Amino acid sequence: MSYLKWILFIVCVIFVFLPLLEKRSDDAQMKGRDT
Amino acid sequence: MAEFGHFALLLALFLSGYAVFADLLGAWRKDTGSVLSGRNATIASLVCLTVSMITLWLLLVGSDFSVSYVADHTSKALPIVYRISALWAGAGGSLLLWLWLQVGFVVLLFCRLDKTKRLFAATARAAANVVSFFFLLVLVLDKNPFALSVVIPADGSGLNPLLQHPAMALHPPTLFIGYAAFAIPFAWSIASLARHNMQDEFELFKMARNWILLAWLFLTIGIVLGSWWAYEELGWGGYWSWDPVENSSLLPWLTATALLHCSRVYKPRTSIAVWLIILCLVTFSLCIFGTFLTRYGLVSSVHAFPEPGLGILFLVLLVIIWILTALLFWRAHRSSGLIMTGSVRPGVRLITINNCLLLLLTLVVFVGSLFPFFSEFFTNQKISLKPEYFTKITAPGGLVLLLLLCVCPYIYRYGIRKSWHTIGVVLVAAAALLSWLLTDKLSIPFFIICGFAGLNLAGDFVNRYIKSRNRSNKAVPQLNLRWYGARIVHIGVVLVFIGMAGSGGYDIEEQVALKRNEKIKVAGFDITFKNLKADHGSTFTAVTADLLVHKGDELIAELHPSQAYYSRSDKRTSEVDIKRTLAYDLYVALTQVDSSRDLINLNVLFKPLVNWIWIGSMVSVLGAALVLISFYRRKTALLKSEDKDTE
Repeated sequence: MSYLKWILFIVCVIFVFLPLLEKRSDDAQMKGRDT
Repeated sequence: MAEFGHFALLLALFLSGYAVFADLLGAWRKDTGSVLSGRNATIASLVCLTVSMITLWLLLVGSDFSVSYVADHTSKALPIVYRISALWAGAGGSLLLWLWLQVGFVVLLFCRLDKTKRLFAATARAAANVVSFFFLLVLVLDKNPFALSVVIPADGSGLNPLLQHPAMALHPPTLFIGYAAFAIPFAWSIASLARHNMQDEFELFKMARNWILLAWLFLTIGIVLGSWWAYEELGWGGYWSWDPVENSSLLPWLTATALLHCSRVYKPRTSIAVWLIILCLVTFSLCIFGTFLTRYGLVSSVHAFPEPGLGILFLVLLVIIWILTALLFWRAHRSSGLIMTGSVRPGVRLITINNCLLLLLTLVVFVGSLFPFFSEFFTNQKISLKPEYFTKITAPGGLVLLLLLCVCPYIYRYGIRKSWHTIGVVLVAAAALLSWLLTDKLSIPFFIICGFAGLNLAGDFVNRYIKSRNRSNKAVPQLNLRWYGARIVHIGVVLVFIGMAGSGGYDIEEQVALKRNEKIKVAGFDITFKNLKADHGSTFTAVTADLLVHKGDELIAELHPSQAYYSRSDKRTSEVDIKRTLAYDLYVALTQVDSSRDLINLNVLFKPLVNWIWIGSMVSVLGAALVLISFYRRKTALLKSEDKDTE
């Protein structure tokens, strides 16, 4: 079971933190509106 | 395996905490990366909760008694259906189910909104995840369903025999779907307040409204299933005893009913919009408070399953929610976000009366439920209120609500004017009041107003039919499911009131002792005790009495009430038998058996019209489902037209 724990942990961490590493072009667009 | 489930719970705790932080940071800094990270964290926490749920189910089905939750709520002899439903038999499992549903609903709605609503969705997710974080804290620190047994037993304690009933297998999950779905309007309200300009976004309100209806629908099913179980299984012949645990599900239902009516007349930037936000927050708070009341054991209940522990965290969560709400209202007020520029239609005032009445009933039930706590706090003496306190106040309230049901749709459409309808309402109200004063019985006014409400609803259908016939030479209009659904819900409500008035006002209850072949007359029925049979199962021993029921010379039923004894849990249950017709129920419970003297004691109840409560509830649920389908159809039609526009 311990390897399952590590798989779950690693998949979650990658899935959660990946968007922070990507460069985005729609930030400026989002800042332009309040929603 | 239990360790894996516990690890998934810990990971979900971390992820929901992180999602709050990332979503708030992203919404504040308008940073897409943080918002997407928060969204992914919410999805990941749902995955972890799903893993935990599946793990717990595998442990329950596999009878792994090394886990104390499994040992406490299942046994080897327990049928597989009840081993599966044992997931929500205890505090830990039921909280896990609620949490899983809640996070699932949040993912379904707030993780799929398009780019233009991303910041709103992030704020709403943060609000919902604060609640999830607290629930997970309670789960991990106190009610861990994966905690190991100190000593591994050879067999588990088994499920309480009273809970081994189909209604009880379905009652908790339907209630939890309702509670969890109320998290959506709650999150919508917090996000609307935090981003106060969003009050103008009607589209977002419509999403919340659909979830309000869905939540109300499931809460209704849950409450009715609970009542039906109490009637069928507990052997006392009633379906509602105003117990604090029962009331804890009624409280959010009452405010949710007010919320539903309020959402019907919602208009952005009006006092109704602010009122709707408050109602959303009150309803979800009552769902949490109900859980606190039930699990913390603040007041004693016949359902007695308090497990104090860290239940106080629910109260902390409520305090946080309301401090946050107060701060957001203050901020919105300061930045002129609460300025009301819109005006409401005059007919809306009646909806306000409906809302005030429902909130008054909520307050009555709330104070009544907490009275033992208040009385002990102020006088050091625990005083519990009898069911009469509740019925004496709520019954007249129900009468006024019924009268409003006749008046509101008409006045909302045409305003107050001199017509046969207005005169009819005044006459009916006067007749109801007079009959109440003369007979001192509330059932008759209920029948009078129910009759009038039925006539009104029938009139509505006839009017619509005539209009559609006059229009028939033109284009055929699409079936308006929303219109029909709303009326069907009201027909159901009228039927429920008829059932309650009949069974409450004209019921007959008698305790009788019978020897073999002896006959006794109860409520015009001759009941003869013929035989006594013993039965042995793997977990119980039971005695069944064979009874013949005659009306005059005609045999109308053979009833077989029984009493079972479960040695493992040392519990005795009474399996009632009922002769059902649409006009009445003849309800017989075997209360005591003396086999040596061939003597039995029976509790016999004659309950007129009681089945209309269940029929009316089903009709109401059907009507609400039709309205929900109409909302879904409109949404898909709107999406299709948007697609065509973009093409």
